[in-house]
Amino acid sequence: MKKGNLIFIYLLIFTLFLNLVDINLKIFNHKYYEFYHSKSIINFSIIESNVLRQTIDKFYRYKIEDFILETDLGTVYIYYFDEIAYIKYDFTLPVYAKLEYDLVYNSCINYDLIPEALFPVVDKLNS
Amino acid sequence: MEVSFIKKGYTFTEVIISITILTFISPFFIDIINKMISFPEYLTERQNFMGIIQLRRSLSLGIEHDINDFQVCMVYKDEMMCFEQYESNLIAHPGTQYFLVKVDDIVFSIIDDWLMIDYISNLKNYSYKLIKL
Repeated sequence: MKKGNLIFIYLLIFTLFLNLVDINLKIFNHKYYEFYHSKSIINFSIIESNVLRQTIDKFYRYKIEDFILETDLGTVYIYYFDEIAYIKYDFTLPVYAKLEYDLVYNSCINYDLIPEALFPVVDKLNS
Repeated sequence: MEVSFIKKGYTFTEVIISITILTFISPFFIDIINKMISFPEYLTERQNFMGIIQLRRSLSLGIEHDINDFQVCMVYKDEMMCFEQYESNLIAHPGTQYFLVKVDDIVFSIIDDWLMIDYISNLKNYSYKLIKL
């Protein structure tokens, strides 16, 4: 076999090896990132679930009053405006959300995380 | 008469060094291959992890939950919505939203006022708290 062919085969195998290493590093990075953040994601999910249950429960019982919840990750503020509840998760990185409820049919219509700019009570919270 | 100086073999030392290097490198290769083999399972696990979080949020938005071993129903958007196993997936109906994929033996239960879900995926048992009732 010619020397040029050998070098070509060597380069081909080396490229494949580099691809393997690249894929492996990506898998490792994903796993590390998810492992590192998975606990806080689960914590947030359970707190969010608890907040939503209490917010909807107040709508359901027509006891619509703003309230505050203390959690492991920080304080959660819930403000009611007619049939909408605005929720601020005041954690290390604040998260804002909006929950829409239909008081006529007595059921939740929509829930979404929203950007801070769309959260109407920021001034009220800061005052 | 011409004398060739081209080496036609390897010395004992070279072979030993090669084997030593291979010994150190081979676990790395095996690890790479193992990870690539198990990657689809990992993707399923990750999908189901996100699915559980979405399921928890969806269940939190409902009222009047009705729970039995294989199904959870609730009122959402003024309609009855149920979560149950269909083939190897956990789906919500009406609709076609998949929450868990490639799972078997989904069982809902209530433990200490918490709605729990248990299922088997890739021969592993999983158990999660969903919502506090």
